[in-house]
Amino acid sequence: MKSTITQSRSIRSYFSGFQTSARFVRGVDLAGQWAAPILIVAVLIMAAIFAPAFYLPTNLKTVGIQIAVLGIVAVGQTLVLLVRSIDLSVSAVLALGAVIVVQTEAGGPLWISFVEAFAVAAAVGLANGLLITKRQVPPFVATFGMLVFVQGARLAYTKGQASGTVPEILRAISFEQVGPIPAALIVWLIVNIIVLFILQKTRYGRWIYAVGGNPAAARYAGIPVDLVIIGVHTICSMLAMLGGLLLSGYIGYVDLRLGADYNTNSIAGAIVGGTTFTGGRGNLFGTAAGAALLIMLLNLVVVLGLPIHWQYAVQGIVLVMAVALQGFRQFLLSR
Amino acid sequence: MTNVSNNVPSDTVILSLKHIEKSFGGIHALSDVSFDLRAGEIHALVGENGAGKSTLIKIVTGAYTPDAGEIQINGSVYKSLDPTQARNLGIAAVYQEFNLLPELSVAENISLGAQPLGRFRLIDKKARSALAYELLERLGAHTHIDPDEVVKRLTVGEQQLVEIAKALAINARILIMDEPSAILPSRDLDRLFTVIRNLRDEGRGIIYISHRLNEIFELADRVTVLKDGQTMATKNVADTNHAELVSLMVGRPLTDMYPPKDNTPGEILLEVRDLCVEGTVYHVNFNVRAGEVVGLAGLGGSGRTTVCRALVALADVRSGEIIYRGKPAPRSPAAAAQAGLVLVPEDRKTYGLVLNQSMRFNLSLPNLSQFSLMGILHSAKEKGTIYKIIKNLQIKPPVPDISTENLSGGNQQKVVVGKWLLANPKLVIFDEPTRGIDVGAKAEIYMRIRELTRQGVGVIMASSELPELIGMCDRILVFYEGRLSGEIPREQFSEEAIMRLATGVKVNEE
Repeated sequence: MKSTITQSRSIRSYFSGFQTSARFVRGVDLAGQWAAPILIVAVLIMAAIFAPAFYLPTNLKTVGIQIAVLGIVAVGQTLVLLVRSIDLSVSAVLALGAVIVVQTEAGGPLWISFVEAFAVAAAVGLANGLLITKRQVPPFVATFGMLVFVQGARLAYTKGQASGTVPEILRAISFEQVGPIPAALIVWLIVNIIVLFILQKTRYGRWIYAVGGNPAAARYAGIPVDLVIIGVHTICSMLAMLGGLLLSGYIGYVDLRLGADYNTNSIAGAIVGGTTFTGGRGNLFGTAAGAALLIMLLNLVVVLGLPIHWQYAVQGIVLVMAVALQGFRQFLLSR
Repeated sequence: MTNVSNNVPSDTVILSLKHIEKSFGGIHALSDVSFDLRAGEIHALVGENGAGKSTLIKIVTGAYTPDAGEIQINGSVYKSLDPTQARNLGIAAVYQEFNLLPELSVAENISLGAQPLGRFRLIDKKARSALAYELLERLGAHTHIDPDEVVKRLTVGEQQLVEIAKALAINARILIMDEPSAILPSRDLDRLFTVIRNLRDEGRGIIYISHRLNEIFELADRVTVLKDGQTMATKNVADTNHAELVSLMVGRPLTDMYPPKDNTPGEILLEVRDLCVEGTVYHVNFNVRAGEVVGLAGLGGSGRTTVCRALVALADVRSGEIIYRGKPAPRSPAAAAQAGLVLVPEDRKTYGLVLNQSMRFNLSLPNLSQFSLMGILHSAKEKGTIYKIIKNLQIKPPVPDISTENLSGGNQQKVVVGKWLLANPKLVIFDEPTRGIDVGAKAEIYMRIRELTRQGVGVIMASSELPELIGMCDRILVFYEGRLSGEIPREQFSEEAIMRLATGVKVNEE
């Protein structure tokens, strides 16, 4: 046998060559849990030094409303990620909402257009859920298909150009202020309280964590796994719709490109906040902090006068860093 | 190939662990373990689940970093190892779950970590097959394993030999075998033992982990007992006996594993008529009475587990009837549980537990409606009930909020049993209730089963451990290739009788 035997080194072995102390592991674990809040404080301090314009009242209001909109969409995304799914159609639903409300306002009463908007959102979420559970379409593909479909349907419906004015009520729940606080932030807070209650205090909340943590064990425990997944997708789409209505109330007009970034940003917000792609882990405090951090960074790009396209770089970096940190934390904890 | 015995004189200590400590999230897995392994010995490692065997093995293979203590290998001292380092030092492990790539050939798997290279540093396939053949020959397996066969077509026993050949390919001097016999049919055991003895005679050190004490007396030279993360004793196998090992393991003498039978079967709870499940189960008939323990025996793939799953609507019934308490059985797992018909599934990590969640979460999971009104949980009520069941089943540590992944196998199993006991069952199906758990936890589960039958609960017990079926059941139903091949009443219980039916040997062929 005249052949050389070489020792191949796997990627894992490079990783594990790394000597760690218990203190280091604890540090990374805490960093993973508290990354978003800690970074928020750091960003606030840096902004005070390098970009004082960040603290102008008008800018703070802008940031606040944007956090509220992204925060609401990210709550839905967190729920979906908790059951090992993903929703790439949130941006399309978000953009659709404003269009429906604005276009129907001209005709019938306002409340009907709201009912219509949320019914359409629920239908999109239901379709996502049914495709994923009953037809076993991978969530990535099912919701991406839905994204394209909903976008196309919206363009067909508006014939390429949206027109009309945003109703007063949307401005009231978004842009108007309650004391010093923009109304949108209060809506965000209410959404968080309701969903937090569902996750912590109801049977459905336990089911969500069980389905994400171990779908087989959930099924054996008699949990209606498919219904949980369908329900979560429906809630996610309806929250995206709510986010869309708040966003149009804030912008004051309807733009066809409205909300295009919300897929990446809602996922990034949830992941920065400690939710994992593998399901069963994540909480709303983290997601709230993650969404806030992301919006603040994106805003700083504007305030610092950098070319606006740097925003994309920021989104990408935050998402990759967050996934890397959470992955590393998982790796260390499993040793 | 080098022969190890030429360069290492026997009686030399090749691996020595001194005062190893390791804890996970404040729980001590190992508090003070010392262990040494000589060249040319089979050193058995025994202890209850949760005693720290797996943690110790993972420290030797470099998967875990110890908090304190030192590791000496061939005279060099290490604080900790990493997997590559461990492999280069000649440490290899064969786990119960194989690290084989099922779609690749035997030769490809054997050479995975060290491909023989030929010209232009391309893989030399001929040399690879030749190497595989040579290694298999040394294991005496060259006659029935073809190096070019795809691994997934091999039997479990053959795959295990491939794993051992992989260890030989890196010329492992320290070979760790984690419960190698648990997954083997008994006819493959002798071959495995011969292989292990030959490896020892070549001068390698072998750490052999098993729950079956008989094997240790047959195979091992020395034995070390772990209990609660500490070394209790290291003995020469010749100087000890069964009873002493058990009392060292459990810290008390264990008189009888199986509590005496004190149940009286009552009325019929469950009746299965002509049950068929697509492709796995054909025309099965049986019944279960209240307060009765009915055993289901059969080899892997005999349809035993599928029947268990069909009873609680986890498998689709193709035809036939399941009558539970006089009515057709509920057709969803939730409805079945509501009616008191529950399955404690096999393989707790896959089907039993949401591992990243707490003990409380898991115990409550199928019982949430008990603690909730209109879907809203009443946490004080939940906590009270959970606290009681933890105390009742003596789950350790008794901390409701501890994550179940940090529990030992035996305690994990108790959580799975506990969550179904909370459902107030009338008929409990246990599938492999004691797989991979220690004697102490086993005895507790048997006691729990007796307690259930005393209360008039019917029990179905599916198991591949014949002694436990014989010790616990009133009758045993044996499955063979998806059919019920026979029923054995208690008076005629014997391992031979069960095996005969389980392997399809007709009585009149004798």
